Amino acid sequence: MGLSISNLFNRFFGKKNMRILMVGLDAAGKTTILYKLKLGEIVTTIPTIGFNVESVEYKNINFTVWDVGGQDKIRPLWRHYFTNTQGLIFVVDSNDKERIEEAKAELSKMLDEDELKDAILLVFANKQDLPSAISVSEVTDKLGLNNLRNKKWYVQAACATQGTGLYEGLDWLSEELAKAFT
Amino acid sequence: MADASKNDCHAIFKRLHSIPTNKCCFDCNSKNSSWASVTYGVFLCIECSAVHRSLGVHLTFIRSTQLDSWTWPQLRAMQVGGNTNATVFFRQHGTSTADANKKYNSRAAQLYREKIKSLAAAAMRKYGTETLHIGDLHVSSPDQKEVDFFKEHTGEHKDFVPTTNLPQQQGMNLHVSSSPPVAEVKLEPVPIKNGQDTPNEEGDTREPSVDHVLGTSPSQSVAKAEPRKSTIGQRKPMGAKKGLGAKKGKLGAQKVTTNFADIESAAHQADLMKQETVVKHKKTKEEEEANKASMRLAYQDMTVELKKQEERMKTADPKKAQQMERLGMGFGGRSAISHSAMSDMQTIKQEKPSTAKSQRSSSRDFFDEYDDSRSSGYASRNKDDIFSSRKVRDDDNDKDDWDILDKPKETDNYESIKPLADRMSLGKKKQYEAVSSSTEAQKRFANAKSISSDNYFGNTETDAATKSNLDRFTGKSSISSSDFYGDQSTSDGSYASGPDMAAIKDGMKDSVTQVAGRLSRMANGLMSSIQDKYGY
Repeated sequence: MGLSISNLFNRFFGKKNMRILMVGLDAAGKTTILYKLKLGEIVTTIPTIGFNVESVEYKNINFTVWDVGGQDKIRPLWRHYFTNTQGLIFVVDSNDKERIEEAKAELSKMLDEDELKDAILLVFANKQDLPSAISVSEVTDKLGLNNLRNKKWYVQAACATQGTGLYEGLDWLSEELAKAFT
Repeated sequence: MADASKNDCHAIFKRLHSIPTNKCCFDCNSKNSSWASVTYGVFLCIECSAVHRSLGVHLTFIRSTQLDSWTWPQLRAMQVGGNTNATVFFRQHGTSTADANKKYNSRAAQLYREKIKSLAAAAMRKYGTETLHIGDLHVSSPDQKEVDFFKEHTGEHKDFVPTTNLPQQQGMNLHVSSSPPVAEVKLEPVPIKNGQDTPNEEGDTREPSVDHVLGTSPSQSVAKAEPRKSTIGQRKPMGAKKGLGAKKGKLGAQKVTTNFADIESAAHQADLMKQETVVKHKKTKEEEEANKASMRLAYQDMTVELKKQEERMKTADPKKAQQMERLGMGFGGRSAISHSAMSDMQTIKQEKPSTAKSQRSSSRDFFDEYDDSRSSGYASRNKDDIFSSRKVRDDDNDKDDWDILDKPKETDNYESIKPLADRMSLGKKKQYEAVSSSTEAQKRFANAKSISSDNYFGNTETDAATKSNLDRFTGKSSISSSDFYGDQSTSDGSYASGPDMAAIKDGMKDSVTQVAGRLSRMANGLMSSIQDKYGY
């Protein structure tokens, strides 16, 4: 009986781990988001060459967030982080309309990967504070998510520098994770 | 936009980095400037690139010279730019602040952005993607031409800026097309002088012979301008030529030159044929009516028209004419068509001439084809198939149409002569098939801050659900897939967070009460056993 109690206890009060991979085009705001979540403050981030990894605790879930650099030539390295990834965070610069197509191409390339077939997809439409940022609906459209039926996805408007939308995104991740475990 | 090859990039940056000023960061003068702002054509260190990145791509677009792939327009921007030019320009415009935010939001920055953009576009036009190092040329170019360049350049500015498509430009197009050209004329001479003083500069101010630039028709910008021509520029003339005006023009010209005896004989033949075909095609009421109407409308003109056309056919290809006669062509295949054309006539004025024409003539395949292709060009006005389709049909005329009366083909053709409204929608459909659903979605979630697959697809299923979801999402900052699918999977059309949290809470409550019950039971048992033991 003690075991069952502890099982029960763990089930509802224990920590869960979630492995998150955060990718996106260069200068989308991935590292800024990561450190906003981790430290709660804005750090001036230099372009990520390689990766950053931080564990972020939220709602009793331990998110291990891998933030991988998004420069053209280091994007092929993303796939090395795919294994065991439960949640994929794709960060889009909503202000960069020119490259939304490129973002779409990268995203769809990743979603074709077998290793990510079970991963749920959270899209941060970042930089919503900038003047010509496109809306979440436009991001949804431009990324072709409206044709992505066989996947759990969530598009969240965000502004990393103000911290808006980030935790809403994590909320969704944690809910989906809870669903997956119950 | 095709990326430049790795080797080209490498060679170009090697050369650009050989310029001393480009070795240092434009903002902080530190060494190792392996990053670049394409918007200003300057080289930066990684720290300063970080600052630039935080400003947003509408102000400055950062690329790594090593870790990013580059497109040619971007490379050209770096070539026409360079740290020296930028430094001089900013100094001339009194922008010496170190605060990046102020610096790159300044008027000078805006002007320089536009300058680089237009210079890069000009360089693209001139050199395409063939020439690697455009700086080479400025050595031999006389200095006077600079002024010419800018005169030309500013005059030309309006023209080519909208057609070019550098990645970093879009946000600025508005400014460019409106105010700056004038402003630039005033401001430009200053950097030019500086350019003369410092021969070290990169070629941007020294590019010679803009006439040549304008004259050449190389790669990028011209290619981009092309579609515009075909859709706007070409359409009107075509419409005018092939439509009403053309026919009249032909008529007038032909009357003078044709042999009337021939025409008469042809007309006679045509009359015979007409009667034949009219008799033949009293198959259905619709057809009959259509024919009647067309006859009534077009009978008089028809003979003349026919004569001419037949004659033309004969001269062009007597065999064809023969076959046409033998096959009794025209009304046979046309009656149904002319009916639809009739409906056309009522709805659209513009179409009258061409459709009427098609009714009148029994032998007008060749010209019909032209008309059809024209109208299909109308229907799909944004497509480029105007020319291609016509070509194809020309070929068809030479071969198939005259050998076999190819009915399916004809019906194909006439699909494009539906009423204008239909046609428009058809063309639109083709083009926007994919878009329509998504724009719908965009409207639906216009105010939403997030969208999920669930609510997205849930919404497309039912209208009522759509509305309720829409209401729910107005003001929301997120939309999730479970929201989209909610209507499908669960009847309550769940918004992701609601029911699941409730479920979790319930589960928690249950388990807690369970645990509590067990604990209390255990405690009770313990107490009672103690009581039993010690006999309290």
